[in-house]
Amino acid sequence: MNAPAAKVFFIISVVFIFLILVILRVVQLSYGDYMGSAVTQAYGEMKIPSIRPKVYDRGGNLLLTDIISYSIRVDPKVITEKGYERLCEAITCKKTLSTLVSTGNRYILLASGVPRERASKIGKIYGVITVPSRHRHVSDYAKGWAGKITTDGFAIGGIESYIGNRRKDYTIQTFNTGKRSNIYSSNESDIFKAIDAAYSFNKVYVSVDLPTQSAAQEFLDRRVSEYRARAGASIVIDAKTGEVIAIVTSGGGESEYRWNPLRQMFEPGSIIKPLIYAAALKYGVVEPDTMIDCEKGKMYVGHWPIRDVHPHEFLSAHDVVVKSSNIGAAKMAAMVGADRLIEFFTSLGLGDSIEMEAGKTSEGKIYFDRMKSEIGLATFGFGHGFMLNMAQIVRAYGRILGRRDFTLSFLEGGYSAHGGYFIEKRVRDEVLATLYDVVSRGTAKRLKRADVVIGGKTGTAEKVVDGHYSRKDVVASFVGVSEFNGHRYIAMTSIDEPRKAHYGGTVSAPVVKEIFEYMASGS
Amino acid sequence: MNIKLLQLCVVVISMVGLVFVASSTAYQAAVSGGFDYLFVKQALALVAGIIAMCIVSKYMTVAVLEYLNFKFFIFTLGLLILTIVPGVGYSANGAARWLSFPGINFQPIELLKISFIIYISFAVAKNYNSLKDIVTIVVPPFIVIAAVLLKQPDFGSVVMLLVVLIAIIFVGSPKFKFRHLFVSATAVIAAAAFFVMSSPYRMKRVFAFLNPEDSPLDYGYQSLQSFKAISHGGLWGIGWGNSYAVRDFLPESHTDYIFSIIAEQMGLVFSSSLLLLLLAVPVVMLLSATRTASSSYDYTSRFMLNVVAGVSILWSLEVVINVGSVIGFIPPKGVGLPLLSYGGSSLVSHLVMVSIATCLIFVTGRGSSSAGDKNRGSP
Repeated sequence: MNAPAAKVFFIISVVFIFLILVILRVVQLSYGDYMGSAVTQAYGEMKIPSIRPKVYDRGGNLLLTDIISYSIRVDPKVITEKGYERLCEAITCKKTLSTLVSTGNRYILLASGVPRERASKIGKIYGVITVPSRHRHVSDYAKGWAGKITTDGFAIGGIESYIGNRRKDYTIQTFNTGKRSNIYSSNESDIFKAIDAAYSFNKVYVSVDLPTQSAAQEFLDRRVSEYRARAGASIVIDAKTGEVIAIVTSGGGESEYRWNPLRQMFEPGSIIKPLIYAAALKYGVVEPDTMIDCEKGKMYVGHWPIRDVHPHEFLSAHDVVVKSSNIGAAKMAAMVGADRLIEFFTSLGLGDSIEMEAGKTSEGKIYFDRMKSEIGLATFGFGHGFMLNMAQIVRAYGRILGRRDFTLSFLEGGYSAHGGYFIEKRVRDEVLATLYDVVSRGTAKRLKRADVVIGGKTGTAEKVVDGHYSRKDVVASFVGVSEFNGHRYIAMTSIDEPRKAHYGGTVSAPVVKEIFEYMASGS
Repeated sequence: MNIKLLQLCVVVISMVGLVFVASSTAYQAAVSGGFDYLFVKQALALVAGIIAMCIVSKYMTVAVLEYLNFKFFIFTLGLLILTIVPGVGYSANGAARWLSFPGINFQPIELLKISFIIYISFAVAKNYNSLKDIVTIVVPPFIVIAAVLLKQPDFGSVVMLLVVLIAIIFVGSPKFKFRHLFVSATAVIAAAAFFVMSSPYRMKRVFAFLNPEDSPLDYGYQSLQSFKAISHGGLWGIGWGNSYAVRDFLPESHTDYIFSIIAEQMGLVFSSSLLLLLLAVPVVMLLSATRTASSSYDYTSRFMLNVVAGVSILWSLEVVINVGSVIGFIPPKGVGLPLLSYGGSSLVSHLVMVSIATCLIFVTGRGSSSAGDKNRGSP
């Protein structure tokens, strides 16, 4: 081999060695650890946050919605006296400019929730900063059950909490690019689908009917004011679907004390009697015409007296409820017996909290241990030994008149019934007839002249004050039932510590009547 | 050797390169919502390169080359100097390597590589028995070229031209022994090392090359992304047009890192085969030239061998530097892969270089095998 050839072969050998090394390296890379990260960095996720839905009542009236409002901050070192005067004409300024200057702080928050139009004018003042934020506007009629939105967007309580738990942020897979801000999907329809999904939960219809809610509020406020009561509340439900049509509360006088129909517990009094009667019928211990000795209005159980407001000698089991005889109800409770009453009340859900979209109700309490004594069992007949909230009571009435899994719902459409009827039809019909008789010839006769046919049961529960039942401080209640427009409704009003009158039939029943009349007529 | 087959092979490689330039540039074109003009420019360059190949094949003789040698060299050197003239040269990525004409930017260094190889080859062929004469003739112009290139700056091209220079002298001069080669290589490596160490920027690149994971978002970014692309391709690739790396992950994916893109899309088998084919071109040319020159080691043969060695070494060196930096053997260096990387000037010059080399082999071989050769012919 001549010299040039040897040199050329040397060069070729170097190239060949290089080629071998390259191939080995490519093999190493091909089976190395980089593949995973190549794929990982190429794919990503894009979160499309769901919007916070608007909440409408069953008639389409807007109750809750997001609005853009502004918080107003001021820089005391920059703003002029004249500018601050102009600012204070638009918003309420609690401090003078010199006071703000003396704090040494800048960008001091003066107001929040300022509407856009006003904020845009204020924002032109030199030294004023307007900061937009999303603000949840809540209708006055929804404040009792709407819940709250925190400043960082979390929902607390009420229907807001229900919505918050169901909002979904939709995530789509994306193909990333090396430039972090430049993310795209291979399939644009994925993005649009996700956006559609995120926005699909943009409306929530609650069961509440805003006009009825408004009217109920007016009727309740009027009665609470008229009777100078401490507080009051009303709740109206659809007896078939469990939809809460109206739920209002009212505080009397200057007190901030209010009744929350979902949480405030109280002894129900005589409105429990139809439930005792239903138990007695169910277990066959009485028939409607079974005569019960009402002891002419006074009876002793041991050393404890039980009295009726209106004395009766004998009353049929049916009329015990109609006339609201404590003695007759006590005897019926005794006939049913403690064990069966415990089973009956338990299956009615008394003492269990109700899981509603607007939150859980209070649990309530039934002092079953009292039933061990003769007097304790007797007093259960007219509503002692219970601490219940209004929602539990109307649900119990709903179950007596309907299905065993009946419950309340804040969403339009109500609950989904799965179970059968709670009690047989003859008992349901008899209890319903009894409720109507309470109005036609019983303790709620003042509702006879209502524009709609109303049934119901009055209750006047003495409150325990200093360990004793008070004659003066009572909770006057009425649970009403009425059927119109193809629906059966149950409404309950309780008024706490009314002063001019005491009885549920006098104080609370008119509120239920007015609500039913309003609902039936639409005006 | 079938010269036409070799030239056809080179054109096919160029077309393969065009296909992968298309896959590399399509994403950017799609994102910008525009026309894939890079692909079109590369396609036009390929057409221009093929035409240039035909012209060279048709009209090139040693005499023509000898006539044009100095003029062409001075012309290309002048163009190179123009790149550093303020207002004339066109800068990109911090380097003034381009001359801009309406509708076209080109790098004079690509033309200079051809003229430099021819110039050195003639010089070495004429003075092959005197190493001193060779050095006297070739070193001054090289210093001028190196000065201009360092001003641009284009350190890589300086090294490549120096290696080509040494390689031509090594092959063309019997006085230049292996020991001279090792001394020269050592000197080049030492000079390069000194040059690298004198610049903090270059040192950072070297450190990043040694441990790219230490600076994954900085100096090591390109290397890591290149490794990921090759690794992603696996044995058979993820399919043409499916590259993740082109989605802005791997910068310069259509130029310096086209090999990573090919490996990602077509896998280890294809990319290795393509690399083998790419390196086969200079090897086959060198073997053919050696065989042709072995029959008569006259002036023409020496010149031919020098040119072929220069072209082959330059070609191989570009492959070595490009693929070496892509796979992490050497620090990243802005050198394209011959025929495959995007770049019209580079594509045309490489096609012309191969054409010159192959035609020289052809005419030299025909001249040595037949009397009365006028060193004229078309392969």
